[in-house]
Amino acid sequence: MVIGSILLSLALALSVYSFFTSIFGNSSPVMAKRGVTAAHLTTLLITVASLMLVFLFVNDSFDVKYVASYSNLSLPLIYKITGLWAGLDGSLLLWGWILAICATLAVQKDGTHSYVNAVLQAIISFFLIMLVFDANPFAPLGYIVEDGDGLNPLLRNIFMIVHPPSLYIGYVVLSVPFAIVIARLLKKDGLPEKNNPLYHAVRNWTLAAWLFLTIGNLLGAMWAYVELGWGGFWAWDPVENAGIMPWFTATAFLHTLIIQEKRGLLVRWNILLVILTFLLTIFGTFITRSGIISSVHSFSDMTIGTYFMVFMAVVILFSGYLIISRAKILKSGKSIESLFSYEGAFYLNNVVLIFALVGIIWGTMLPLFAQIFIGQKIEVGPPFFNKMMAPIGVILLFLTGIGPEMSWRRWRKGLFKKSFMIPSIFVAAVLLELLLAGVRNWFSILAVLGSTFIIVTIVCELVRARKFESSFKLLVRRFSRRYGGYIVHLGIAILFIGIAGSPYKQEYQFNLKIGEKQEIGGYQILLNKLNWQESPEMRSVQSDVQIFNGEKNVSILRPALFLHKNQPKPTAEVDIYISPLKDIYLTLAGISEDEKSGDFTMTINPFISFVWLGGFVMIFGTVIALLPPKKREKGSLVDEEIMLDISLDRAVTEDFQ
Amino acid sequence: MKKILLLIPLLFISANLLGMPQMKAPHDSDGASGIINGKLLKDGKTPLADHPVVLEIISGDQMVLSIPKKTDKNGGYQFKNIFKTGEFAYVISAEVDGRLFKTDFISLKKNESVKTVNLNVGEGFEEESAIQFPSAQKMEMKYAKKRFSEYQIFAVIMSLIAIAFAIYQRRYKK
Repeated sequence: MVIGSILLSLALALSVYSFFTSIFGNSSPVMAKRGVTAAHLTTLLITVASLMLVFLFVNDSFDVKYVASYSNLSLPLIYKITGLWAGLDGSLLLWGWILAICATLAVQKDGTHSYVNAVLQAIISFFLIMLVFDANPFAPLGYIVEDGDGLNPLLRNIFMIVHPPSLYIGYVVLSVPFAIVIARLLKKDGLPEKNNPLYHAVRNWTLAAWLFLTIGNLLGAMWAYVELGWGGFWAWDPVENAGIMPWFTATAFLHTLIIQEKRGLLVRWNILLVILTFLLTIFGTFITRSGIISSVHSFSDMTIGTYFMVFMAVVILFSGYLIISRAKILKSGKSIESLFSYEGAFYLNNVVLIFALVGIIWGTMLPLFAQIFIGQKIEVGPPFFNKMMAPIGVILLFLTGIGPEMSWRRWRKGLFKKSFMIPSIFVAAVLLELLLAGVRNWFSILAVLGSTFIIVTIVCELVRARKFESSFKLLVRRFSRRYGGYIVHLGIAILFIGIAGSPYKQEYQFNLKIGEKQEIGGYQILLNKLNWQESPEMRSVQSDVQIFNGEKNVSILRPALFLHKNQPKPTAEVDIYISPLKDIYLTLAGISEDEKSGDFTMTINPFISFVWLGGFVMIFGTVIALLPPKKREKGSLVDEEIMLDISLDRAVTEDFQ
Repeated sequence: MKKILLLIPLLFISANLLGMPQMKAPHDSDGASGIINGKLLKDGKTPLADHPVVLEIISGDQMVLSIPKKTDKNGGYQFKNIFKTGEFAYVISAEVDGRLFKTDFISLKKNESVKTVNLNVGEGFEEESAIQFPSAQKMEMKYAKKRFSEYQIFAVIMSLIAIAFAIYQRRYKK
């Protein structure tokens, strides 16, 4: 454990050295090179330290406080390995490790300015200072214990193996575009031009971060659904909100970056978005780590919170100074000519996304503000967020369908007929069908209509563009960025169909005796037996519940309750009957004193599978968008996306001059 | 850069040599840890047999671990594996008649292998909330909060050397 502490101390010294040499590297290529070498060595040291902590977990080294707190002898190997990010100290180490790897990858390319490394090393040093002085995962326990406390049972879930590192990667990767932008501002440049390799670096790093944030949020939602037992997948918990905040701004940036690339507009706005996105990752971490707002995720350590507050203040002041002092240089000569244009729709999309972001920040921080300013404890729960986000979601959904089909610069004659007539007909037909089917919830209706609109516009566009390529596959490969994005939009449409089912969720609570059959929610429910089991780790009871639809046996579900050693509260394991159109979600809430009956909660969740399917389609689309487009001629500088828009009558050559 | 590459293994070796004694898990026999024992006494004289007592381990201003135990038939308790390092302080507590009693902060000196500390409970003995620490002890705790570990001092020194080295290279080794 002493070696681990020394490795972190050395890594801090090397990172500081790399920071200073990279600052001096502006005027001396030799110093810049030294900075890069020191950055690689820092990464090496943090890697060794991280692997060492994993080794201590696997080796049951309970003389280390962190290991004793999050592991025990009977913990399966995979959870010992993931113990690295089970608590505050280890997750900060993981954070620093991923960041160091990103820095190594980002600075190894020739032509990357030394300031990029300087910014990244400043962030790495910040994490290392916390690790060395206040959150050292190698700190000794001060006593020899035979066994550790073990991992929180709720975290012993397959999704929790991937969910936290995905979010961390998403958060951390966003440091790279931030570093590039700050370096450019220091050099009195704006965002790089589209033919500059740095432009692709900014886009690809942001897109990669977006991919991991999407994976992380999706898996987190899946974990909440299968593990927490309340039948939903998104509770607007402060830490869930923290995970989605940079996702919103990164989404906004990825859209307006296209406008900057094609028409040179919104340069300052884009720079602001990159900085804001990075700040939100720090803000999110501050919420998670400081415990300032109560959450199921918080690790509660105000000392660490103070570090983050100071760091945020420094970033805000420094970035603010850079933006204000470079404002004139960054001013674009052009402006958006009409809101009824491609640029206008994307701008509106940004406004709505930022509006959503402000709402989420407000709802998340309100309990804290109320406590500070009026001394009252208030809770802002899911109803507040659902009420606020439902109309925003619907607007965004329709903009997702409209935006990509708009013409550049202004509305063009015949555009409605070409791009929006068929989708509108489909929307009208679906509306009629929904009304006839008795659907009256405004959100569900609009969400399904918006999704229909997106799906049909995408299909229409692909059909029209297909004539320019020999196959759909080639079309997607040739325009991977564009159609990768369309696939993401398709995923969003599918996801919203899933969310549209939420208002029709049904919940039933009932008591069932062994051998008793009851009719619940249109199904016949029979409790066959209750199985008790005991192990050194825990005592558990598993129910055996048969579900019939009429006389037909639908499924046997086995929800259970666990009483873990070292854990004061029992945990429930839900069991779910999954079908494409609805899930039957059963939770065992309690057992009677005579152990002959159980209290159950059954939730019928319509269309929930669409949420997961939509999420996976979004991930697939992002991977496609990350692929380099297949050029007709190697090394060609012709922007084929512009050519395609001209061919589809959405632009003329002059629009891009 | 070659110098840095050379410096790192050297630092590793020296740091490991410095850290080696602490790396071993302490046992009673190796001198790094000792024993705290004592008796739980009601009104300062009657031993309380088979009564729960708790050893609280404190680092900085936080309790990092509590170890529960029961007194033997003579009201005695014994806690082994007590670190002699100044990084931790120990307190023994017991709840009697719904009131919580605690000892003062206990620490073992390097030359001490066993320390006897009795916990007196009952009327006339101050409860946890009423415990007044002597000002010297308060000072010691305050100092303990601010004290840096060896590796933290090492990190500060190395970082300062790194900055100095970078400035030196910029000035003289362009």
